[in-house]
Amino acid sequence: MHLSQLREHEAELTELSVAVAVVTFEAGFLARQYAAETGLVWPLLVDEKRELYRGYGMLTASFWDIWGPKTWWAYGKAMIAGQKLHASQGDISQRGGDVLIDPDGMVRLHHVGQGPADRPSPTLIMERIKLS
Amino acid sequence: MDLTGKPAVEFALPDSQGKMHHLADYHGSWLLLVFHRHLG
Repeated sequence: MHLSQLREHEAELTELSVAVAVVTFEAGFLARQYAAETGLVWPLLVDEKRELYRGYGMLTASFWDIWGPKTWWAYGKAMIAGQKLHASQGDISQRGGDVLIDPDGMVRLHHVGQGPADRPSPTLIMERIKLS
Repeated sequence: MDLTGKPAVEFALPDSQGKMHHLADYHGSWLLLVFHRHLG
């Protein structure tokens, strides 16, 4: 969902010289399959030991974050938009998030998601870049 | 935890094709790390 939104802004991100890297903890075949099936245009970094997840405080989500109404709403919207959803074989309690790093290596945006719909919008991300 | 304004966490991770990526590779440009909850 969030990646779909970012892909809609791919041209703008490129224009702003923003490199995007997607991070997953799921390795091997699952990662390759996901990248191939979604036509992912950005590198899919594999953090199997979850060290980078941990480094940014993206730890275990609460039951409410995983199964609460915001989750159902987010997945419902994705399905209506035609997105194919698969039952996850991975750890559904793992938090996601977004980290924006400037050219000098400083964190300019650090967002740990409370659920699948809790992500900064692409517009917000680009505003952070333009305002710097 | 909020690392806004702090140095980014170093990393050395392979991508799904086996190519290694380091934080230093991105020095000089903006980098957006999008952490997946889970694939699928």
